[in-house]
Formats: sequence, structure tokens, C-alpha cells
Amino acid sequence: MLSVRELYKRYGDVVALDGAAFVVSPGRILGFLGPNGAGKTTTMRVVFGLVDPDAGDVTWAGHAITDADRLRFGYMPEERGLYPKMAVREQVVHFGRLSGMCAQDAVAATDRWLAVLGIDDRAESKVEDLSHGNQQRVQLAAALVHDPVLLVLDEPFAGLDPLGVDTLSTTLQDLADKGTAIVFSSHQLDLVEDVSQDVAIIDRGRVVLSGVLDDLKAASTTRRLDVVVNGDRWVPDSGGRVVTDDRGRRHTLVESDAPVGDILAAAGSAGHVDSFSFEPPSLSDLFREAVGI
Amino acid sequence: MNRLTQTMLLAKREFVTRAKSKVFLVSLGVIALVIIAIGPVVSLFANDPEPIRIGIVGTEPAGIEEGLAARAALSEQEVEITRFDSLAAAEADLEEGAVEALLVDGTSIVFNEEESLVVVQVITDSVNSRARIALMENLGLTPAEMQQLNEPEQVVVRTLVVADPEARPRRVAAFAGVLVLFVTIITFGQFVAMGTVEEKQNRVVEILLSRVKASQILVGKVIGIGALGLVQLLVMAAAALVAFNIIDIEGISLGSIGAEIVAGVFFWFLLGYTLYAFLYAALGATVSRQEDLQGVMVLPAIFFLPAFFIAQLAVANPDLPIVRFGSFFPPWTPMIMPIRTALGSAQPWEVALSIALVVAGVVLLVWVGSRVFTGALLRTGGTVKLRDAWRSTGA
Repeated sequence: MLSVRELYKRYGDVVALDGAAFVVSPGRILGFLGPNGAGKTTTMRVVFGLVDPDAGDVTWAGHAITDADRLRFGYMPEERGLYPKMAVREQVVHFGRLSGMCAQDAVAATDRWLAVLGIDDRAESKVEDLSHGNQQRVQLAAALVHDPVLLVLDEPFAGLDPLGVDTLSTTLQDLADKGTAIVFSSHQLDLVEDVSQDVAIIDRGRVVLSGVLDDLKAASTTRRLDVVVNGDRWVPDSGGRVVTDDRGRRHTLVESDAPVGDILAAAGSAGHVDSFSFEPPSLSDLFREAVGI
Repeated sequence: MNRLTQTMLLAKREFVTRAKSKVFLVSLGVIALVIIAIGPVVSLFANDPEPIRIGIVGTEPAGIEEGLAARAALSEQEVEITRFDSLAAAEADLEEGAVEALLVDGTSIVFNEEESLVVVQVITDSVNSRARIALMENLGLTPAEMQQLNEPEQVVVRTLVVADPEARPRRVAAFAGVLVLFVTIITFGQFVAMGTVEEKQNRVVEILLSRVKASQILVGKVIGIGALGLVQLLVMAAAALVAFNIIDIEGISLGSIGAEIVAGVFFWFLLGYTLYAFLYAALGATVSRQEDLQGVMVLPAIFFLPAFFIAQLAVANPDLPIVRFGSFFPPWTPMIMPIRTALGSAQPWEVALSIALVVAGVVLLVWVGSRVFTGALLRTGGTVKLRDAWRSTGA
């Protein structure tokens, strides 16, 4: 289990981390969310010892992370980076070997991952000759080649086509099923909702909400009210907050103890009720609530 | 997984990817060919002196042509005689440089602009000798008497110090060796700086740093690129030895001296390159784009350039105070000490001391370089001030 414990980091006057804390468990996928500049990348860099926190620490299996631990972690930084003039296969093998694999294992694992990620036909191409999406796949292969026990991915879905998104989601789920602890950051909330079981939401360097996604939804004091009357979205006159989601659809957030019967009756008197739902909030609702937007 | 294995993996990548590049292979081939070509070219000029071209106009002393040839032969030269009908035609050729000097009426010598003492000597000796022979014939001397009179007293010339016939080839070879050293250290040092920036610019450094320490990246890069430098030196040395064996200056082959100089170049390359490579790496780490690199690369050049000029002084006189100082000043030692050693000016203890100082410099630069490198690596905006890079590691 990876424990991020009360991290603080300042760069001059800029507060990057202000007590960030969360845990990532083996076999589970944690979606790490937050607005730009909230501290996601800094937190990930602390895990890999690339940034020294001013206070707080990160532990793995209960002890401070050692260099040997880090070699069993996989990392895909937000700033993607590969050697452009090196062939795909040679490059992934190189990273595998740097993580401590013997040449034979590194080659076998590289070939396996290139096949899984669907780029085995480009194995001998130079990275610079690949499309952006395929470079992203190589990047992922470099993070996965040594079968890490912990996978830290900074915006792994950015730049992937829908097929790539599917491949990556499936791959992550397979890895989690085999016991890998996974944390990834993303701006695509619906995607996080599909892929991850756990979430941590960071805002201004502080984790404002974290836990099992379903529990968080259930524990939320708001409910999502989605009513269609005469073919149009219907919003009750009193109470609630109207929000527009990522897909441009409007719905209403109301208190969990709102009088559902009265609302349904009001909707009925407004016209023909096509659909009516009163559900726990979506991840994007939780996110808005947590970061106060 | 130990650190050494990782570092050697990094070094291997640096070496292999560069060694495979066409640019490197082609330039290596061109360098080798150019060096080998130096041999025949130098031999051509060294062994075939131009004949002295003399124009003769007006009254010609009897037998002057034989006289000139015989006199020139004494100083291992040849003459080429052109006869002119008029002074004007002769002077026109002299102006054009077709002849070097004119002998007019057997009584005056004309040059175009500057007179050559050697030519004056050859012509006047020949003219005088002809005049003497004519006089002796008039006196009715027998040929034997004439020869006796004509044969000058042999004056023996000697020097107090027996000159080393190898001294000149040694200077040539030592300077050539240092020139190669200079170019190779600068070239491969710059590769280190460019390689560092490249990894920053590619952002590959962050994945690397999640697996290895910055100091390993630095050391791996210096070793890998240094190994490539050694390969280039090896090829150059092989080519040079071929060329040296072709060169034949005054009957002395450079072959044996060449081997000694080549060994020195290798030794000092290892020390000099290591010293400068860490400086270049630290500087490379402070910028994030290749375009910004030129600015900071001036610094090692400023250090290095004076050494090049002092090396030229050293070739002429290896015992000058500035040369002696330079041979102990670590940034200059790799350029100066090999010359002093080749010319026999340095005592063994001096060589040992200079090596120790360079090693100390290397240790210092590895430490400083690693620290700046580590501090500056992850910063990717613009140029990092050295001071900030230094501090950010200490934090």
C-alpha cells in the first residue's frame, strides 16, 4: 500500500502541497483529480523522489520508500519523454533493464507489452516516426515493462483516441486484478468514474475528498435530480442547484433529504414526466462540490 | 540491481546510439583518410626542394652553367637555367616569378624585390670560380695543379652539444598530438553537454530519474561518450602511425616517436576529457534547449583556449615559466604536460604531481558537476542560474 502522508511543499511564495494525503491499495485503481496547479504532478514526483517535500512523507508497505522499492514502481510522467532517435523495442528494453531486469526478461516483457498495446508492428521504428498516440503507448510500455507493483500515471489518457482509451482502461483493470496498485491523474471525470474504484480530489495542495468512490457518493448529502418533462429537462422551482455537466446536460443537485414525492408531484403537474431519477451524485458533482466551483 | 550495472547500461546506450549514427561513422572515415593523406603530402614537400631558377642574359662567362650546377650540388640543390636574348624579356620573367634571379653580363645579379643570400652565394661562387679557372688556364697550369688550387680547405664544423636528430620530428609530432587532444576533448565534451540538454529537452530525464540517480546519468554519459572519443582517437592514432611511417624528414622516420606520442595522447585524453566532460555536463544541465547551449559552452573554451597558445610556446621552448606553470594548472595540464614530456623537459616528479592535481580537479568537478546537474535537471524553463541549481540540491 502506498501512503501519501501530509505532504507540504512550497516554491518561494507558491504553495504546491499543503498537507496532501491519501492511500493507494494493491489491486485497486485510484483516480487522482484536481484542477490545474492543484499539486497532482508534485505529489507524484515526491513518490519518485524527484521532489523533496518540505514536510511529510510517502511510505510503501509501511516503510519509507527505498531506491529498491522505486525500481518496482512504474511511472509515466506528465511531461512525456522518450529518446526520439531510438527504436521502440530497443528503448523499452533499455528501461526494463534500468529497472533491474536481465536482458532476456526485458526483451520478453517488451515484446509482450508491445503486443498488448498494439504497437508490436512498430517495434523497430524510431520513436520520432510514430504518431502521437503511438508514442504515448511506447511511454506506457516503458512504465509497465518491469511489471511494477505500483503504477503512477500522470494524465495517461490525454492524447489517446477512443480505441487507445479502451485499451488502456482494460490494461489497467487487468493489472489491478493481478494485484497492482494504480494511481492515475486525469481531467476526464467520466473516464475516472468508469475506470477507478477509489478517488482522491486535490485542490490547492490539499486533498479535499478521498476514499472509495461508491462510499463517497453514498455518503454525500446531495442527490442528483434528473427529470425530463414533455421531452425537456425540468428543474423544480424551489431549492437545489442547477448544474451543467461535461456533456452539456443540465441537472439539479438537491439535499439528500429533499421531498422526492413533492418534487415528482410538481413535475407531474408541469406536464408529462418522461423520466425521473433521484440518484447519488456523479463524480463530477462530487468534484465540483469538493473544489467549490 | 546495483548502481554500477545501471550506470554501465546508461553508458552503453550513449555509446551504442552514437556509434551507430551515420554522421559519426562518416566523419570518422574522413578524419582517418585526411590523416593518412598527410603522410605522402608532407614527404612530397619535405624531400623535393624546388630547383633554383636562374636567368642568364648578356655576356655569359664560359662554363657558367656547369659551374652553377656544381656549386648548387654542394648544398644539395639543383639549378634551372633560362637564357634570355634581351634584358627587358629577362626582367619581365623575373617580375612574373618565372626566374628567381638574373645573372647579367656575368657581372651583376638582379632580383625582383628581395634578394636571396643563398642564390647570391651560389651565383657569385660560380662566377668567381669560372674567373679563377680562366686565369689559371692563362697561366698554363696543369689540370692537376688547377684542381689542387680549386679545392678549398676543408673546415671542420662541430657543435658543443650533439643535436638530437629526432628533436624536430618530436616537436612536430608532439604538437600534432596536442592538437588532436585539444580537438577531441572539446568535441566530445560538447557531446556531453548536448546529450545532457537533449535528455532535458526530450523530457526523458524524468523517467530516467524515477529509476536512477542524476549522478549515475552524469557518470554514464561521460563514460559512454568518452568511450566513443577513445574509439575515434584509436582510429586517428592508427591512421597517424601509418602516415608517420610514410613521412621521412631528413631520413628520420616518425614511426617510433609517433607510438610514444600516441600513448601520451591517450593517457592525457582520459584525464583531460574527464575533467572537461563533467564541466560540460554541469553546464549542459543548466539550459533546457539546444539553442541556449552556445551561450554556456563559451566557459570551457575560455578555460581551454589559453592552453592552446601556451602549447605553441611549449613546442618552441618547454622550459618557459608560463609553460611550466601551465603544465601544473589542471585545466591546462592535459595540453601542456604532454609536450614537456615529449620534449624531455619534465622530471618524473613533475609529471606525477601534475597528474595528481588533475585527478584532484576531476574529483572536485564530479562533485560540483553532479550537484549542479541534479539541481538543474528537473527545471525545464529557460536557463537555470548556476547558483540556483546549486542551492536546489542542498535544500
